[in-house]
Amino acid sequence: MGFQLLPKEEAAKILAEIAGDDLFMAIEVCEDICFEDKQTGYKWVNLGEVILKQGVEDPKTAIRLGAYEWHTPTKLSLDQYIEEAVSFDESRRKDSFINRVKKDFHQGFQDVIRRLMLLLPTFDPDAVCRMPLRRATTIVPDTSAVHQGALDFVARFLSPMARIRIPEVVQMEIENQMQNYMSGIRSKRGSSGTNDRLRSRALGRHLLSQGGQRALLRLELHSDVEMDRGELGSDPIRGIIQLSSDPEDKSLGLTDTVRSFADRLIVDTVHSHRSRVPPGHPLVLLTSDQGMARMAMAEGMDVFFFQSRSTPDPTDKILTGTNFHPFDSEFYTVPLTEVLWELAVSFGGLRVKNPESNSHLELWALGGPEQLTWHPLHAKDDLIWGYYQSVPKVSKRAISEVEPSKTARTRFAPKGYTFTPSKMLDLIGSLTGIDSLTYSEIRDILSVRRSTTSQRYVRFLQSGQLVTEVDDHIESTDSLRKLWQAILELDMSSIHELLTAVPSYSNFCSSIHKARRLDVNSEEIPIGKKALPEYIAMGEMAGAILSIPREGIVATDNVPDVGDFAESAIECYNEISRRTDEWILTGAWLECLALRFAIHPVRARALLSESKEKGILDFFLEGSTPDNRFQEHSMIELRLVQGRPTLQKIYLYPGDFISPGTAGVRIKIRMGKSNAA
Amino acid sequence: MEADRTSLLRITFWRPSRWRRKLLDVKERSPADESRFLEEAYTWEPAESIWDAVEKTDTERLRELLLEGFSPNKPPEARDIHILRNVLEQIEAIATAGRAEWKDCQQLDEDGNTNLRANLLLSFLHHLTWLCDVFADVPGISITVR
Repeated sequence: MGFQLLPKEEAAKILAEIAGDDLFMAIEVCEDICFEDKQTGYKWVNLGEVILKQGVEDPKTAIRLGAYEWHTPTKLSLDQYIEEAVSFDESRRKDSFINRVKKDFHQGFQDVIRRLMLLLPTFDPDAVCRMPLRRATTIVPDTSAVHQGALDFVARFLSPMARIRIPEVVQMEIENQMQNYMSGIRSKRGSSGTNDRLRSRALGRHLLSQGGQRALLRLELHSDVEMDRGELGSDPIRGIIQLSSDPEDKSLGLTDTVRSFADRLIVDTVHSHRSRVPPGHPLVLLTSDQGMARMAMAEGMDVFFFQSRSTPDPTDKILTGTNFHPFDSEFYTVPLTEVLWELAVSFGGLRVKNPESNSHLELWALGGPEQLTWHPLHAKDDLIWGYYQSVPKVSKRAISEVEPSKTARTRFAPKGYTFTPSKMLDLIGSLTGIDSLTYSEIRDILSVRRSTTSQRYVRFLQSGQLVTEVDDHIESTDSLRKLWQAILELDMSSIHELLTAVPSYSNFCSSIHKARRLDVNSEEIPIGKKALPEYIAMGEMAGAILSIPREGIVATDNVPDVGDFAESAIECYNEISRRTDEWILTGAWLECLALRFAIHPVRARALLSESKEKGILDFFLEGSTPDNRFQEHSMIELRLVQGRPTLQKIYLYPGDFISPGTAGVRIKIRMGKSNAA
Repeated sequence: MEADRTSLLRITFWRPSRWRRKLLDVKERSPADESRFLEEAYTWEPAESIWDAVEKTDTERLRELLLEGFSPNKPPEARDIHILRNVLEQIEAIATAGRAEWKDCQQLDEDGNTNLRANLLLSFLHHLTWLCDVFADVPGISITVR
């Protein structure tokens, strides 16, 4: 492997190459002692996927300006990835070791996210009421503020009014953490072998020491924040931490670095700094340590307190690099390279890869496969060791559609095409009306500027032989014309049948129909998160599936006759009314039909009407205040508006779905006269 | 091009006022009732319109939930932080279902050459979630949205 020092600008170019047309990357991290593996070298922990959201500019601009979404894994998944990456000796595997690694990982991950300002530290409400600062104020952070992002918050959002005074003992604590890691863990690695006990401690110490030092160096070397410094010899630390021959000091244990001493020294730093600033100049202690905050308040000191661990939780989130400034009307941005750098330094190693092409960039700030070194230049110019492996990519069509059997599905692989379903209908209508279109005309119809965007629409149709490409023109086929006819007739079964010619749509529906119900995050769904909403909309439009919040995606492929439907309708009604009231929520009844009998709400509505006409069922609707708890229970329905097919979002609970114009929030169903007879 | 910035939304967190001295209401000719006053704890006005970030039906719902749900005409207890948490759940459902679009913003990058791009609803969600976490347990906290 040939590692070279990378500046962020160079990394941005590489990342743009890795993301390619998919604009998609997976992030993994590693600590080279904790996650060392005898067979493969290292194991990596998956930290989710990043999707670039570029506009007319190139992907590098999206990386630089924070236009990305980072989908982080759930806590449960992350725990599983950590367990898979830790290869402790199975025979002597101790749960306490694994639990320590998990705890350190989660805390370190949360710290990284807060230092980057992707999520903000949760401050005391009184502190936020005083922000932004209206006059020059000196902030004195403790070690927790350095690690957990509060110091970065001050530097980013409260500067230039905030001046920062780092107590020497904070530097010292972080230096001690560094010594603990380097001498206590790293140097013992070669001589005595790396035992599991040592390895379980490596991650936590690495995260604290490297992350803390980077936060302090960033403040000094890469920010404009004003720093106050103490005079040499003025810090009280010298009297306590230095070795003393005084027997009284020894008997008091003052030569040891005791945590409460360090806390006391931070508070003393605030006191001693008071003599160096003009009278009335505010001094504020920044900490998440409750004891220290109470001690400072008891001595008449101002405190900006923030919560240590309870919030925010960075797992199972969509994080973005463009966020609102907390005290201003504008945005602040976090470049993707900054995210990767912070992760690489804090954890030691980081890998960014495109699972489709296997191109990847490996970054190491310490150790790693070549036991890489560090020099002050690395910190000054913010350089990291990187190794880029570029793998030529097979065309997306060839991978995902033409040869699906050869596609090795990975956990991160984006499958399917992203498009706006209503625009897809516009394109299908236009193609059947004119027979052939150029890409430029297609872009106009879709109102998009980028050719890659319009190509996604074409690729979707092309993969199902619904269109063909002839001399830079896209021509419609008979299948597309049949599809358009079915759309105009609102014939859901035919729409679904014709769409199954598109392999990605077919695979999606098959996976749901086979399992009958799948969670939206299920790995059995062969569609990436990015494209999943589009496929759900198409499936709902075709009556093949229904997405129900907290239940998942449900197969709705049952097309019963009116008699069978009546039995199912009564059974669902009885089941719900037994638990509640004779007037049951219409939405709950429709969802029950989908969940238990795989009947799509649109079919249920038609069959209910038909069964009433035939006297098989009778139903009554009652208008009451819609229940706000179910506002997210909606689906996409194909309707004709002035003869034009339109996709509309329909809410199942307000009640106007069964009988348009009627607020039938609740429904009562009885056997009809013919059935009763 | 950078467009003129006008405030499109104003979110204010209010908490019971904390008077240091008693006040005399000269109109009522009696000591003023402290419980009738709230003080501003935090105000925020984004420069970008979050309404443009979502589809029309979602926009209407969001407007109703925020502007009507947190109208100053309502009593403070009808627009407390628990209600805001419920609204956030619905915003999250829209944002995570991919129904919020990324778009070019009015704000330019530091060089003044390129418009920033953002998923306004997602950024809005993060910001409100942070505020909810900060003010979660403050007694008598209420919110207005204009």
